Order: sequence, then C-alpha cells, then structure tokens
Amino acid sequence: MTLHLTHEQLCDVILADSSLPREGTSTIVQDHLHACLHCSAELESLRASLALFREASTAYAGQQFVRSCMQRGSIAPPQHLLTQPLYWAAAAVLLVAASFPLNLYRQQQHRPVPAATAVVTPHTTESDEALLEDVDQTLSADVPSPMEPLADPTASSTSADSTTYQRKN
Amino acid sequence: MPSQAIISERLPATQQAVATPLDDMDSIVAMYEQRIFRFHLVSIRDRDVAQSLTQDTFLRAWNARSTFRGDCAISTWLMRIALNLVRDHTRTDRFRFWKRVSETAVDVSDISSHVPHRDSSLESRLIAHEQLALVWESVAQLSERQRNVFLLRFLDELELSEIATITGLPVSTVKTHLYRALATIRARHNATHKEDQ
Repeated sequence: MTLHLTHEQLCDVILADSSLPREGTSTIVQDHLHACLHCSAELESLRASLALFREASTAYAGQQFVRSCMQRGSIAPPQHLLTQPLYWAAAAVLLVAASFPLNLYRQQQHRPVPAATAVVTPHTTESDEALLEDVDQTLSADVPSPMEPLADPTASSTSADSTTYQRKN
Repeated sequence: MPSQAIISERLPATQQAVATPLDDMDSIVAMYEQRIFRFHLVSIRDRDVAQSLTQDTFLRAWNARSTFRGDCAISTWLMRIALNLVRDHTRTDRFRFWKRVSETAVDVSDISSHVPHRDSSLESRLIAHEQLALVWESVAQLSERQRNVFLLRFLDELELSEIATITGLPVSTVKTHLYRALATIRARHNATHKEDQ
C-alpha cells in the first residue's frame, strides 16, 4: 500500500506562508513530493487551478473596474434601465403628476392684477375729467325746473337783521 | 479646490484637530479602490453591487477614520470594512442577492475569457477553462466564512496572520477554514479527473 500526503500536509504546501514558522514535517513532505508522482501531480494541478482562478478573476475585475470608472463619469442612468419600457412609462406618469400642480400654480400667478395698482397717465386724467363734466351737465339738464332747489327767501333779511343787531350792540 | 480643503472646511474644530493617516482619502482611494472592488466583485459576483459596496467601504472608512489607531496597515483596515459589508449584504439581502444574481451575475463564461493563454494549443485551453470553472463553482458552494478566508488567501494573496487580523479569527481557525475550502475544491478536482479517465 502506497502512502500519500494527508490533506493537511498537501494544504500546508499550497498555503506555504512566510509569516508562519516552518514545521519539522516540511522536509519529509518535500522528500515525498519528489518521490511520489501522484501527490506531486495533484499538487501541481491544484496550484495551477488556483493560479488560474486568481489571474482570471484579477483580469476580469480589472476590466470591470475600468468600465465602472467610465460609467461613473456620466450621470445617465444605467443603459438597461433606459431600454425597459416599464421604466419609461413610470417616468412619464411621474412627470405628468409633477407638472400638474405646477401648472395650476403658474395659472394663479398670471391672473390680472387689480386696477388700483395701474399707473395713471395724463391722457386718462383728461378723459376722466371730461367724462365727469359730461355727467354733471347731463344731470343738471335732466332735472326739471320745478325740482330745482329753491332760493332761500330769508337770506337777504337775515343778513340785514344781523347788521341791525350788531349796530344796536 | 482639493477635496481635502472642502472636507476640512466642513468639519468642526474638534474633529479637525486630530489628524489621521486616512485624512488624505483621495490617495487612499486611488491606491486601494481597485483591490477592494475586486474583492467585492468576486465575493458578490455582481458588478453593480460591487461598485456600491466599494464606495460604501471608503465612506465608512472616512466616517470612522478617527477610530483608526494605526495598529494595522490601512489595507488591512479597509479589507476588514469590506469584509463586514459583504457579510452584511449577503446576510440581510440574501434573498434579493440571489434574485439579482440571475440577472447581472458574473458567470464563469465571463471569467473564462480572461484565462491567460500561455499555451496556444486547444487542448490546454480547454483544460484551463475546465480548471477555472471547477474552482469558480466550488467557491460558490463554500460557506460564507470559508469563502471569505479563501478569497483573502488565494485572490488577494494575504498571509494567514493578516487574514486572522482582518477576520478577527485565530490563525489556527483561519487554517481550518482554508483546509475545508481546499477539501471542497480538491474533491471536485479529483471527481473531474476520475470522470476524464
């Protein structure tokens, strides 16, 4: 029966770590690896697989990192989001919902300002005065003569009496 | 205006007083961003999530820079934050994670295209692709802790003592996790070889 390396011994060779103290079995393991083709072949195969994993992962991550850096420069959303119609529909609904109250607010803002704040120009002042004169004339012309206010019959006597009274005093 | 100047303007005087090695975050990001991104990408296997977690890693590092005592390397400290974020993500969003994986997952075929071709023969290339697929799929089967330790060792090529510092585990436990992870890979490896023979 041929003895081979244990799993731990094989792992220790793979994990050969400079930070750990060398154990006494390392020489025995190395001697066995020189002598046993089965163990050395398995060790090489495992090492090759692990190295492939590291190299391919590193290369792939490097490529993805560059791609991420390029995308980060843009503020645009990811392309896969832009191509999906559901997202477009949701965006349209949100846009309409957001613009509706905004339009109402704008309409309220554009309503006419009351006339009190209008600027009075000389031209409008003249026309206003002419209009008022017309109104006065019309009113005075419309009042029939019997309805005109009567003259005060005591006006002259009162003034004469007061003069007399002052003289008496 | 440099980001350092912007940051120092916004900080209260009490925080500005204590200078830390992490104050120059621009340099630290430039130095470690790709490495952190690679760890997240291979752990989570989703580019968008990896990008997000990478940003979170540096954001957390910046927010917690006052707690960095300098008793370990900055890279070790950053990897510890990254590891915690991966752990949080896979635990809390486990279900959503697997759902997302189906859409934007990094497939083994994506990785296979990056296998270095030292030998141009078709047979050797097929063998290389097969070996890579074997490890890639085996890593996905590992437990969370085994996978983290495995990636720190065989992707980032960290020493066991450094992995122990990052994970907060004793070196012996780190070794045990690696033994188990390698046992999974080895079992699949041997099974594939037997099928080929």
